[in-house]
Amino acid sequence: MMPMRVKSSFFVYTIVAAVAIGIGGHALIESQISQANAQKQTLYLSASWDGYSSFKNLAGNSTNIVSGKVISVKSSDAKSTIPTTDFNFQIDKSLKGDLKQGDIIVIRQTGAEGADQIIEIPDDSLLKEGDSIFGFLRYSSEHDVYVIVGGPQGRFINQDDQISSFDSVNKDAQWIQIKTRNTPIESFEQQVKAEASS
Amino acid sequence: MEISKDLNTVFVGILVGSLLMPGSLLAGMILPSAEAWKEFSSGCEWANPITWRSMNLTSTHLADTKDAIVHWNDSGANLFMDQTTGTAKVPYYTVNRSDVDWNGLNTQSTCLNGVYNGVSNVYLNSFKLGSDRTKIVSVSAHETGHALGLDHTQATSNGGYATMWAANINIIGPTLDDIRGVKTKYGAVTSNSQCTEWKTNGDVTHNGTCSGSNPALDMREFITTAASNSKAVATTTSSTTSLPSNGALVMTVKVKATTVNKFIMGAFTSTDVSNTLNRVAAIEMSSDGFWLVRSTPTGYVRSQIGIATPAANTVYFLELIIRDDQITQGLVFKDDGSATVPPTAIGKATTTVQYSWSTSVYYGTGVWTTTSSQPKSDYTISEFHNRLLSYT
Repeated sequence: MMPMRVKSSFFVYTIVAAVAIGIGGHALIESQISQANAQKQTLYLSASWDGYSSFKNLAGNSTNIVSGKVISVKSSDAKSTIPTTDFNFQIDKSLKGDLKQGDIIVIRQTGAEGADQIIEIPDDSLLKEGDSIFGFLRYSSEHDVYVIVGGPQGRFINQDDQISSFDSVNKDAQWIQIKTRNTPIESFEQQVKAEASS
Repeated sequence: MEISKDLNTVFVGILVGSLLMPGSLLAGMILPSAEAWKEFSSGCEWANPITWRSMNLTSTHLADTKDAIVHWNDSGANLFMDQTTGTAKVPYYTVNRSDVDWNGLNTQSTCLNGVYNGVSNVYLNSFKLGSDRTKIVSVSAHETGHALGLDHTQATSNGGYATMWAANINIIGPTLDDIRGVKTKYGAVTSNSQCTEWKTNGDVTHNGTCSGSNPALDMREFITTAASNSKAVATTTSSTTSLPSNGALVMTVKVKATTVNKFIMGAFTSTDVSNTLNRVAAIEMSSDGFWLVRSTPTGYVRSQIGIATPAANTVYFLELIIRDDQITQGLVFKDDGSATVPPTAIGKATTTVQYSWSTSVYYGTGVWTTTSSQPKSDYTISEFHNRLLSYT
């Protein structure tokens, strides 16, 4: 049997339980979705990255610093010994590197969702279509893909042009050292530029 | 603590969800631990022996993985990782992946009735690791910790640092928090005749069964004695035991000096440091730097560890590894004094001692004064630990 991560299980059971005690009709829809997902086993990977304590460190290890949006899943390989997912990512703004607004690149992430199982790194959960992020990226010419530097450390959430570090949405990523909350994107960009050039 | 926050977020889920949760899943839960470490999956562990195998590790990755495994085998927990050429529970692979940014990756084994029953793969990414041996050992030790069932540590209970810190910080072997984790998971070694319990605040144990007539010794008294005595090394001794013929001695200590003079941690065969027949492998912390010291028939040879000189009132971690193949490594880290700031790696040095340790040895820490005119040093040590255990 494949072990299920406790927190995911709790989430599913919370919704199921909420339905059972009759909390609103809306919960019924969520329940159906969750039950469908519950059919998938979740297998967890654990990864370790270099630690980054400053934007300067991050920028120094990045070929590109960009903001943009995940527009689709290009491909997913859940059956490989090291599963990966490729995401199409549209550039909105570039602070470092040769990318420009409107470019569509591929970001590769370790983990994948297959037909019957989800495999992911808990503190670097998979991107989702529609995610707007500010990313510190490294280009792999060998594979013609980009990877996010330091996993969750180089991935910042852009919500209505307010930037927060990834630990704001993923409790497993509390360990990351560069933390920010709801920083206006202009201020964030200035800070990154200033530290990157220092 | 972070683990409490984590579990608080789902606590309501537990209360409500448990009403409908199958009993088998409920029984497998672990309540939040007071320790900072946490288990990767609830209540699962390997049965001994925990076989491991190099599937395609490079020679460097293999050597450093052996080091990493020695660290875990010597943690005092009741776990035994044995190398095999057959089917392994923990296979190790070298990969060269530029399309990922992790240094190492571990896949979780399946679990049945509280026992891992599958395979937990460890991948070491040579693209990221390069030739940095300290980093390779650190990452291999970290991923091995995952394979054993430990999750990332986000804050340590003792304010120190852990192998299982999420970002790699070049801690090459289990520290106190990691050891608490595996001991809680696997239990402490009780049948072993070696007294390997990690003591703090200057207490030190010596090789042998801890008992009323063979108690742990208080190192602080020895340091006081040595500090007023020229050419002396404070130590605890073993008069009957040699180093393992197929294993390693791992010594670690956290040390701080008010006045840096000469401090030494290591293994030797004579407490008289001027004895030319003395066999020594040690880390020396002196005002001119950190040194890996070994003796030769013609005298002592020092290899500098890093380029930093020790600062007063600064806490350093020293780690000495003497392997059965006589390769000896000395590593030094600086404790930056915060539970959220990783220690700084000062450096690493490697040497080969010229003879085996098939004789009775002394091992310990202490002040090393070579002339009576040198000022006394005031060292404070903690978390001194000898781990002496065969790994086969």
